[in-house]
Amino acid sequence: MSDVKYEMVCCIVNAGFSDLVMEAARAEGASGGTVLHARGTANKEAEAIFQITIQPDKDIVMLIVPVKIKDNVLHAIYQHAGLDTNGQGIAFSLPVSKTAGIGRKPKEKKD
Amino acid sequence: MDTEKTGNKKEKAKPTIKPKSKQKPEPKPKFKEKAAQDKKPNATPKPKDKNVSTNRLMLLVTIVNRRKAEYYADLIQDMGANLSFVAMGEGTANAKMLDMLGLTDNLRVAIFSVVKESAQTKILRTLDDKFTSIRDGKGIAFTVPFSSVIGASVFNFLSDNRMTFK
Repeated sequence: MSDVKYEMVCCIVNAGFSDLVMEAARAEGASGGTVLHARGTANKEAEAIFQITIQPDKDIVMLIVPVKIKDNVLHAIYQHAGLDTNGQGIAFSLPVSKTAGIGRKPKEKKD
Repeated sequence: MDTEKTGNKKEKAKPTIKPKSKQKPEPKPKFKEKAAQDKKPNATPKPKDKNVSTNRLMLLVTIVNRRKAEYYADLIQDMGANLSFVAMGEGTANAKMLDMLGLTDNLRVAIFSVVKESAQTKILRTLDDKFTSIRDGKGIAFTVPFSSVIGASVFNFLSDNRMTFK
């Protein structure tokens, strides 16, 4: 386990826009992420009132980034895939307590 | 002169008091030890403690190759997680990174499990060992703290608190 402090950056975007999120995050120093496919559920009344349509198919991009670059990554994601873009993404971060398998080269593999 | 004499008398009197004060603290610890010994046996069998858990809950996220999903899900369950949720996903690493890490494809699973804070270090160490020792078993794992849970039975289930159910 490593002692470096990490944060989990979570970004929910319209399906097919996960690449935009990763490009923005990589530019700020994030190494990799995991994409989950999900379905959004929006209040139809609220959609009618605010005159917006919520695309139900979503991608959830999860990134583990060092605390130092967390703000930059969030800012980049907001600019490239935020609500004002086609990605219509929202992003937030959660504190990570401990990690395993990050920031260390793998040992020799056994069968 | 009178004041000096009285001052001397006080100075002379002080050393006679000091040894007395030094002697006094010695018996006190013996009393404290006895008090501590009396408290220890009472601390464990308190009936109130049976229904109270000070353990916080953590969300353990384990991201591994899709072929190893079942193995890691079973491993985490064996280590005390009562609830696990497996979601299919894909990695975002490019071909260069995949070659560097010795991976063949992008298909991953994210296993979300709920574990006790006291157990997280042991579980993460075990997972770390497995990540580095099993062929094609490379992955990452991390824990995120829960801030709140509603429902006593839900909390007891998630924290594996079996003292409440006999």
